[in-house]
Amino acid sequence: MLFQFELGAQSVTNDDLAAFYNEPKWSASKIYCKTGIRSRPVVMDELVSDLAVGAAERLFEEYEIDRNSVDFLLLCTQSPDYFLPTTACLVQHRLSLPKSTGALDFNLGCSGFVYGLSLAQGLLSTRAASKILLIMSETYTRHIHPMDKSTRTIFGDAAAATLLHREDISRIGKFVLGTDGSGAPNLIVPSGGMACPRSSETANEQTDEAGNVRSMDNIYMNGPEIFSFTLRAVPDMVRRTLERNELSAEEIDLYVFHQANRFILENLRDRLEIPEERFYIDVEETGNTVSATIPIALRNALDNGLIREGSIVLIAGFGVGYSWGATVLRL
Amino acid sequence: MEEKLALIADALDADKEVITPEKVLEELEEWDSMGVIAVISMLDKKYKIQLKADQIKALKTINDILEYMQER
Repeated sequence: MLFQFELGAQSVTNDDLAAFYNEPKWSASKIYCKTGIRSRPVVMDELVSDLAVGAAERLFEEYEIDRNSVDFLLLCTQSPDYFLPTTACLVQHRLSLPKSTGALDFNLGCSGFVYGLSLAQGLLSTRAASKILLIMSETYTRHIHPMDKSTRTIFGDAAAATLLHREDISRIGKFVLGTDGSGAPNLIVPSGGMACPRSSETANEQTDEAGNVRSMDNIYMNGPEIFSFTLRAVPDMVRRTLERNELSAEEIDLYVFHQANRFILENLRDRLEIPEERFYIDVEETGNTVSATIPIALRNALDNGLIREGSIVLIAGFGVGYSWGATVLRL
Repeated sequence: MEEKLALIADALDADKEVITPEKVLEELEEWDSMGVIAVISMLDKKYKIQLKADQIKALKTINDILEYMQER
């Protein structure tokens, strides 16, 4: 399993945001205290396909991968270049992958990487594919209103590319997955899809009680409810994942959860009584890059020597949908 | 009771004198989304209860929060 990533080319720091909002409650240090984030990568004009191609090219170059050996491309995004055609088809073309490559998009957010691995494990097991490029590529900032502090302080744009082959089937453990669509209204871009096409009305800006501005064309996130959902769903999912994989909590070398923000991660860590040194938290320079957070964290943890070949890692994704999933990796 | 009010004041990072049972939450400067999250976190940690969306919405006074602070 090989990992690489590409971040949005621009950076928005806490100082940038503090200057923009110009409110004492939102100084640079207060933003850091609330979120654990110092800066977030953002795209200007780049599309999800651009970030995806960037991450994949870095991966190919670093590991000298022969692109003709790739026979499947899985792309996870909620900001596709077009409704149709499939963004993965565009990426196949730009990466000059063979025409015998299978390619598809799937639409998930924070749980995307775990689900992507479940799909990859299946395709490899049935021999529908022998070498899979699994790409998470997300540009949430394109949906965010600049005057919505609740989301602009949190999200960043990035793509992560992971290469998987048949030997990885046994490196990926058993999955625990879950869905609760009743949570849909709590993290949503209300307009732009078939349910509510964009119009001059959907573009109408509203200001909420907290002074955040957004229209129906922008992301709405109910922070407290999502926080509560996470506390309801994740600890139980982690316990069941350990059970299903016949592992004790102590046998996990590192817990790498979706890097939503530092506060929720610390709460989960404390709830599960995981020692700090075995629980990965790093949102400082990336913020929440949605489906890319887990593979980026795995790559950084490998680079920093926190994990190595043979390490046992429990990964857990949770969020928009609501959707959640976890598994164990033996690297 | 004092202890519970102190826990709430602590979570909200508010002065203890302001946190009385009848206090209307909307009147508190600290009752923003971060404050709500801090209270949800405190209730989960200390009282093992995770509020649902409709329960969060229904919180209007400090008394409403105190209702959830029962030993289990």
